Amino acid sequence: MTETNILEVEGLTKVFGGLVANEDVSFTIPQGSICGLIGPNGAGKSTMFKTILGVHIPTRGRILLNGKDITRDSQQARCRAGLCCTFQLAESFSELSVLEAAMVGAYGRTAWRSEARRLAYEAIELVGLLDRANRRYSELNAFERKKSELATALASDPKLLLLDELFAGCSLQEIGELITLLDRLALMRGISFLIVEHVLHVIMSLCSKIIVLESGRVLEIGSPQQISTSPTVLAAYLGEDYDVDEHQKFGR
Amino acid sequence: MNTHFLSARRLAVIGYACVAALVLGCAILPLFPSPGTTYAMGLILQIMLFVYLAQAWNIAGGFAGLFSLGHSAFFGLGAYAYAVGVGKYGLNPVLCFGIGAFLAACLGAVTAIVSTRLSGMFFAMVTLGLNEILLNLASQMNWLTNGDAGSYLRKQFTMNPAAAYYVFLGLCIAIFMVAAVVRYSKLGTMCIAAKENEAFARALGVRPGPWKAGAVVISAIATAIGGGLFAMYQGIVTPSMVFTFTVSVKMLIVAMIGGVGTVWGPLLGSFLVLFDELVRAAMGSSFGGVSLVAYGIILICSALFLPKGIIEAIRRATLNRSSTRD
Repeated sequence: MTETNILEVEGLTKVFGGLVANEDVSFTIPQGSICGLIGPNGAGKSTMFKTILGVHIPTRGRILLNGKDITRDSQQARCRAGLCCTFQLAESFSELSVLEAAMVGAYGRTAWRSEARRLAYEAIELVGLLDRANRRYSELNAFERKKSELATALASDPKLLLLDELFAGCSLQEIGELITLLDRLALMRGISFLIVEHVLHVIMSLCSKIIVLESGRVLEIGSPQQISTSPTVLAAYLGEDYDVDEHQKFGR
Repeated sequence: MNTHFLSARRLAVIGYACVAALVLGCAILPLFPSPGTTYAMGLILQIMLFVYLAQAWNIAGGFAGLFSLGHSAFFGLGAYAYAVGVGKYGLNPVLCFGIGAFLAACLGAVTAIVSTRLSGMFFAMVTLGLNEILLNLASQMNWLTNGDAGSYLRKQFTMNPAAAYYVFLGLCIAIFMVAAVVRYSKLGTMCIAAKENEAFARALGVRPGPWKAGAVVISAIATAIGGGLFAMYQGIVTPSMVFTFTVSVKMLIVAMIGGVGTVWGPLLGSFLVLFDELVRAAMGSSFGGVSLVAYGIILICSALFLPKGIIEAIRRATLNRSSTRD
């Protein structure tokens, strides 16, 4: 069985002035999987995230999306190739309604307003926010904002979606709802996810593969089981007394 | 507690009804001639001019977030294109409007493209400087503009006040339609997205530059047309009359007080012009510059109490938040 990778990162290094934010990072994300990117503060997660998105151009290394080299492509080209994201602080477009915000994503696929509306409604329905479609973003609660932002990203028809701390500040029930949603998107739409997250039990129960960064380097790559029992990860990040069973409370 | 009683749809219906009544009232006013009507028409003409200009400013400053401090540059270009073209070279008036609009569009596009590559206040500074450059050019290039003495227009190329009244009424209606179309088209959505969260917009594949430049071009063309008609109405154009900071600031403040980036904001801000004219009429002779003091006070009050403009305040005060799901 050969596994195709939606994203391949090869020997990625990003240096800001004298600071090495990422050094020789390599990993792959299999098609249709949900992967996690974790690590202590300052480990280079955000830089990694932004480099994949095209905000930063890497100093060395390559990024392949669906086998195609996108290392030096513009953000627009990456979006057209199927890469999209949501940001850490749910700060979408506060003056626009949920519908219009999703249309921003949809306009990347079509020039027509009516078609963009249809695609936007489709994305909003996917996240279950139809009854709020005409509300302004600034009038939504924190959880609805996250879903709205997710709908906006989905409207651009991504193949790989990068989520930056989507679960931060959510209640257990909301986390459960989001996990079900991401699962469904991965299964039904074949969307792959790379999740940057601090809420560890989400990562442990949602992801099939976890990449641990530390001081800009890859510390460990593996399944939740491997990660939660790896001595180096335990020492550097999780803590010696980490109990994986306790943290897989969203068992699937 | 039942103070918030309107649904979004009912608020919109009431709003449209008010606008329709206002337009109708303005349209039939000249049918009742009297000295009072003549005075009112003069006043309304002033208001309409600045509502028009404020809306033109709003398309760039509000929707695209390119905060211009020198829109009088486009206004003056339109005015001079008409005055010089018709008065000096005897060109076709329509062609002169075209030339003014073209020059303003080119200038707007260049400034927008340059400034979207740089950060926030750059556009404000550039437009401010641009206006100063044009002011000095207009007053120095005697052979073209007749310098500070100004370019006069012969009577057949001017409008009488009654015609001007209807022209500006039509112009106001037109610019609101343009603004509504821009706001709800792809252009408007992309501009607001790029203005509000550029990082996310870029991640969604939006290239902010061309969209913002498009909004500025539309705004510059509209402002230039307003300038041309202003010249037509006044019969004379001098550098200090059109390339003046007062015009830039007035259109900006009207839009800001009404509500920047909203379709109906500039209309609600119009009361400011009315207030200005009334204060000047009542106290101008005994207290020079009183209207500027009044402007300052209004601006401070609105910044303190209505930071997002009158239209947001109305929205907040009237909408029933628990039942606006329609």
